[in-house]
Amino acid sequence: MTAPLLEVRDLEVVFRVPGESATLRRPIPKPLEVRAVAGVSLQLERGQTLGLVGESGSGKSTIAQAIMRLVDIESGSIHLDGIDLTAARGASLRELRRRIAMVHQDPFASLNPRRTIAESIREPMEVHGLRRGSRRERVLELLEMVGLDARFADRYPRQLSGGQRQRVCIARALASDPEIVILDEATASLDVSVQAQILNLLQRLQREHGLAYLFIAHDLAVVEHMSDRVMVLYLGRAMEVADRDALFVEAAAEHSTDVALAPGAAHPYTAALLSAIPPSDPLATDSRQRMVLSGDVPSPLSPPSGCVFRTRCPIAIEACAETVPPPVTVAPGHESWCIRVDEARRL
Amino acid sequence: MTSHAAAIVDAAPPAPVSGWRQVLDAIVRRPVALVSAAVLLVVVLAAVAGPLIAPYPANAVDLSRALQPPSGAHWFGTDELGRDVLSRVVLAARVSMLVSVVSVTIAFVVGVTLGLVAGYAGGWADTLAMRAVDVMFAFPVLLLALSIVAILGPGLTTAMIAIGVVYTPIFARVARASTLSVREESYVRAARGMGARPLGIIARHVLPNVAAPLIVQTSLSLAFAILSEAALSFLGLGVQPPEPSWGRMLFDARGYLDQAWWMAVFPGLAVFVTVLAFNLIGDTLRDVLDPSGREARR
Amino acid sequence: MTGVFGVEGLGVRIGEARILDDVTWSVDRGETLGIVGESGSGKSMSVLAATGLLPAARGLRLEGRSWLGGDAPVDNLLALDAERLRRLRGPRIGFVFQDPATSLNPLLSVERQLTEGLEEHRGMTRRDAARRAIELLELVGIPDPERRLQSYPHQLSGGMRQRVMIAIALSCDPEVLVADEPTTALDVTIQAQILDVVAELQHRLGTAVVWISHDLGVVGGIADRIAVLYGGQVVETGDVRDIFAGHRHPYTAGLLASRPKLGHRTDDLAMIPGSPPDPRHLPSGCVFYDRCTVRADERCASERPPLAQPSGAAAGHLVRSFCAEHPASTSAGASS
Repeated sequence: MTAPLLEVRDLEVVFRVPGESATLRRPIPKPLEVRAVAGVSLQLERGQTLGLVGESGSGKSTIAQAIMRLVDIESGSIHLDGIDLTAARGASLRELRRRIAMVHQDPFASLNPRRTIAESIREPMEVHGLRRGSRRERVLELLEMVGLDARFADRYPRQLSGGQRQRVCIARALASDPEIVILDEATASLDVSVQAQILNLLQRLQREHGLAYLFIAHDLAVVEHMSDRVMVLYLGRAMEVADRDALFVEAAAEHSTDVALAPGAAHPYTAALLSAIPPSDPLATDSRQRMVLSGDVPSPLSPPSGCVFRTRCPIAIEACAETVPPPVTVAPGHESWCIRVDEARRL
Repeated sequence: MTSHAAAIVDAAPPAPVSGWRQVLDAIVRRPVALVSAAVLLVVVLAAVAGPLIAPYPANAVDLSRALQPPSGAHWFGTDELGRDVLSRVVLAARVSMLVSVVSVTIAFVVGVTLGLVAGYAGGWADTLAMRAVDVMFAFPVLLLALSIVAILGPGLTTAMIAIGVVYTPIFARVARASTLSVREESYVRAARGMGARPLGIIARHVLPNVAAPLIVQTSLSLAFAILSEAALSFLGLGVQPPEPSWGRMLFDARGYLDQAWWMAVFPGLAVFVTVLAFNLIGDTLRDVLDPSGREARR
Repeated sequence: MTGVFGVEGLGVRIGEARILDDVTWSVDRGETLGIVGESGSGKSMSVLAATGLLPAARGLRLEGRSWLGGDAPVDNLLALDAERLRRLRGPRIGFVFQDPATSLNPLLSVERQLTEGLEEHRGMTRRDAARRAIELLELVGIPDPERRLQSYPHQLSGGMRQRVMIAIALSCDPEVLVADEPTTALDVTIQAQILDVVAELQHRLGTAVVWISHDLGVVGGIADRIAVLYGGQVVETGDVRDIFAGHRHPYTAGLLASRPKLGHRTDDLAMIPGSPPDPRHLPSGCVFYDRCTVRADERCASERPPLAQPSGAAAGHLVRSFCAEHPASTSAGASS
């Protein structure tokens, strides 16, 4: 068995915020700790798409930034092609950032307003010393790949629409010939009609270039459409991970939303997420269980003991507060972090 | 169907107007800016081609023609040594421009470097650089000039160094403030994510975006540098006679204010008009380049 | 015109940009109208213009009218002066905006923000207003309301803040609740809670609701009727079932087809090529023409279609398209 292209093990990311200031009694100020990611492991295979789903505070964006080493890693490891890059510096860090590219959520903010499109797309090539002498051709090639006319090369970001800018960001991500592209809420700020264009483009590029995607989103329908495997996150911890087909069951009839029926979700949070999505078709026979979670997401400064989801979980019991649930293998390749998996599957 | 959809490809927007053309446009459209630009052009011309334009040499002493009011032969009159005031004003432009350009260049290079590094690196580098800047801020021009005079003796070089040091802090602060805000932008994060080196990021992303407030600050500092030079020369710490300098000319005119008003008025006007022109151009540049007003005045 | 609130022929121009053009919609007691559109469609604008909340801009010109029905009808809100219009906002029209973080005053406690409107519009005493405030917090499902009254916005989560916004909006018993993208910034599980709260309130109080959103899924779930906006015009409006299963406008078809649907997989999403139009350079014919893949009529490029009921459509189902009369081209089943 070949090693996965990207493997993250027990990743922990802690942000420290200024807490109480110094007092006479305690002269050294005590910072507060926010465990944005608390021990998440994931694998990404070549040419595959792993979808990371979660709401705010789930840590999904932080995981992406940790992989790119844009935030400090508290503990855990990152392996690219079997090589440990957790503490990489200098040239090896740069190589990591060549092989993994990122497309951010806000296409406008991630392009330097004072540089032309061509200059922005060319930057990865300049940084890594690629294609000396043929960079302009490559820029035009990339523009064509993402469906933009060659004349866009000498324009400025402010002249482009949101969808066009996101295409530019995708072209830029491809400029370093990466093997993995991290898409961090890449379509969240786009209109629905434009989102479809971008998603189609991403799928075509994946097929043509054998790219692996780490697709981060909060929209489950988009994640289902794009992913081969899906991981559900809550408050910095993994709740469930499975192949897409195991998690989302294809609806039998045209106007039906019979998703989340067994075998589907094996974790109460996944079931709640599926249930919370408004039916895309009001005419649908919706045999999903209506499950509206009560309360709000707990503060990451003081996460609940044991299972972090227990404060909003409809099937929580006393034991849930005692220990962090270990992963339970529901089926090959399907894991759930819940001590009451059987009840969860009945939700 | 496919061909139809392909035909609805996004049309490329028209080519944008280059930054420089925008600036030129803005100046041409505003009468005030246009006049200021014209004035500056005249001053630069005087500085560069002074000896060719000036009707008389700067130091043509002719005591028989001393203290004559403005006339056909001497448009600005003559001073107590019979020297043509107009010629001296024109030739002094060279000194003023030289001192202000060199000193502002020193201030710019040192200040912006400090500010960029402090702003981007943060941490102790930031603290160190900014404390150094604070020390420089505290020095009045005169005190510093005196100290430098004690070491180097009075003269052109002294003036340039003193003014340069005194204006460094403002460039450092402007550069640092802009760098701090740019550093947090998504596109800088994207650049880090693609593996760019810090120097590359500063050059490609930070500098172009902090350029605007710095350009504005430069034009304003040039204006004040001229004033400072005049002040230093007035006190005898800058350019030494017989080299003409507006400040020196004002100094020399002190004793003759009631007899020969033209000795003070014309050099004074020259300073005033030049400084005003720089200021007004600076305002226009700011309106065009940096409408958010991030730069500071000194 | 029946109904409690609506606009007729509403148009907004700012300089040479045409932001809204001949917009007509209405909502009835106990009914929810969903206004759907993408960015630049004018969906928020129509409500802001109707209630006098448009920021002053140079070259701003308004056309048409907005009206209130019910027991004390107002023929044209736009004809009222600013003060009279202000007195209508609150007692007759309540607002909930998108970002509760910026819509609530961070310096005032929840209690103050609730009682402010009550004291102002209802002339209640502080004490009575405070009691009513607790009632309202209970109404929107906030636990422990007495303690919550003393909280400040930054102490509340996004979902809580939005509930407070709803409570404020309903404090003076308005006939209409206008919600502009109220759940767009919220997590999907919190959104589900808010949708429940609003549905429950509507059921109990009979308030008419105008819900503006870009999310067809959300709107489809709670609306009784829908108006689809594009390029500042209403391109289709009707009962929610007609819009989802019997739509006649190519844009509506495209919009519905381009969403990934849970449980229904396709290789490629059907998409609408191109981008929305620039309000300064609107086409002279059908506003959707440049991106339309149907174009079944010769008039499409040159003439602006009127908003009319196509043949065979249910009453109240109006479409602004010449293509609507060519049945095979835009029926819900046809894929482009």
